Amino acid sequence: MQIYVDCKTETEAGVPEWAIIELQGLIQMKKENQNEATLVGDLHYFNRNRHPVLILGHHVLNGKEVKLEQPMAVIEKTNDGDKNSYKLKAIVKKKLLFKSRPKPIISNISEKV
Amino acid sequence: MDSCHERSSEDVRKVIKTAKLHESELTEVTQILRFPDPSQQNDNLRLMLLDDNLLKEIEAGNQLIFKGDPDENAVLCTSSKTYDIKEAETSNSLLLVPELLFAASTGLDETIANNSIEGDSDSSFDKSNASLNKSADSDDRKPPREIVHKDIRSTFFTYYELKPCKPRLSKLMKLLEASRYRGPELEYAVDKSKLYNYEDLSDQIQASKAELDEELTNIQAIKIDNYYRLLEFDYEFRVLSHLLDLIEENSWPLDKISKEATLESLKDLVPNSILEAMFEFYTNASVVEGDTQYYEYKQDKVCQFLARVLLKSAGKFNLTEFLQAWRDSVPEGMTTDESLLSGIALIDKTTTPQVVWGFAESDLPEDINQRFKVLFQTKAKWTVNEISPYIQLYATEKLNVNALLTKYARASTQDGVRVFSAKHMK
Repeated sequence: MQIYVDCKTETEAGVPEWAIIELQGLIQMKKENQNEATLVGDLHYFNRNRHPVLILGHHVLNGKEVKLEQPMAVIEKTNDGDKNSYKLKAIVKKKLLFKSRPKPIISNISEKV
Repeated sequence: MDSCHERSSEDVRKVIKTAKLHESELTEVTQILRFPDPSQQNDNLRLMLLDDNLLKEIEAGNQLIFKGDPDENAVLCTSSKTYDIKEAETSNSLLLVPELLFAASTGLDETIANNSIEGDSDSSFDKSNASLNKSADSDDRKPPREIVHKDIRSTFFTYYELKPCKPRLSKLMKLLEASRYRGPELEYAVDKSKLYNYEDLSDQIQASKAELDEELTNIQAIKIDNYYRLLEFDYEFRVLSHLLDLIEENSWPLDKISKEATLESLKDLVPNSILEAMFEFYTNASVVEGDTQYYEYKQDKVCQFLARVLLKSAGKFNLTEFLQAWRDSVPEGMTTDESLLSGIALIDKTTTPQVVWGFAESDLPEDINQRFKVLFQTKAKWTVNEISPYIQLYATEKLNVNALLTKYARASTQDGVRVFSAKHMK
């Protein structure tokens, strides 16, 4: 049995490059939003050292940009009638790795983040 | 986490402050990460780890193929290589964010306006304006802040690890075994449901196109009426005999065989596709005279086949008699040599008379442990040269014949020669 992976790109720009954000643990949504997007957090970068910083709820996560040892391909499974096939969507060459323990934000904030 | 109203740069600034960060130490673009609404969420995405070769193939837009039957471990093939697929787990979450901006694209340069920002056409794109920065904040000249929303397309805990592997070719012989060609007069008896064309084989064999093509040539598969067939041993002997008889009939020098004359002479005896293929298998181009390319028979290959013919009968032969009969059976001018018997026969020089008997690699079990068992049952001690042809198929780049022997056999020295025997005493 053969399942094809189509890697042709539609645009001249070639394969899009996407990113991975790697976090320890799991982000879960508190309530299922049926028809809306859910905010996760704010991503900033420090000027001085280019390190990313992610503010997630009541936590501040410090990380760094890491070049992947081996790039990754993102493929999408599609179903053309009764035939399964895959399409190349993107390549990931770098990730933002957040390894250090999140720093909790200790203060009384009345606004929801 | 909250539902997603469009957040303003002010909202973001408040959070920065609360987090005890200073806006001046941050670049100008903030990316707001969010899970898209459930209708946008996609469970159809997979992550695959690539090596340099796969990356090249993908960037060239070349097709890849997953191959495997439900009862097989799937592989991924390019046009020339095969990869093993393993699912790897990570204890971390991998959030996939299309077109996420890395630091360099978020305004580290002075010319922020000239940065091409690969914004999602779907995401809202607020260019913050100096005039909007009127807040109760104590800084009176605030740096501009751009807000971009980025959706997390999917979260992964597993991905596919792709490692180059040997193509799985042993199935090919098995598939073609059932439909060996025994001659035009016996074609009526062939089970048509067991015939395979190239597309069928491509579908069934877990190998790349290049690897499959190479193996088809190695096993001498012939395309007859669009189906790939192996020749039955006796039929191959029949055809080879016709080919070799022509040498004497026409008094051709061994290096001036005429392909045209060969095909013409035998066209009524053997189907053309088989004649062409057999000629190709057994000859090399030799000299060109005028406009004509001449050929020579591959002596080693011819002699080895004829040895197999003689060895086909079961039992042990007197070595001296065998060698004489063999010499007599090959075309005049061709030389036979004991070394050609490697992989098809075993010789015992310790007995009187010395004996030889047929022992073909292709008759041995496929499983490596089973194979070593049979090998050591047949002959207690082997030199590397003697045993190599029978275990060559297991050798990989990482594990060569010597490494295999170290792993599966026990080494010792006999009369100054290194020999291998069974690892465990029975």
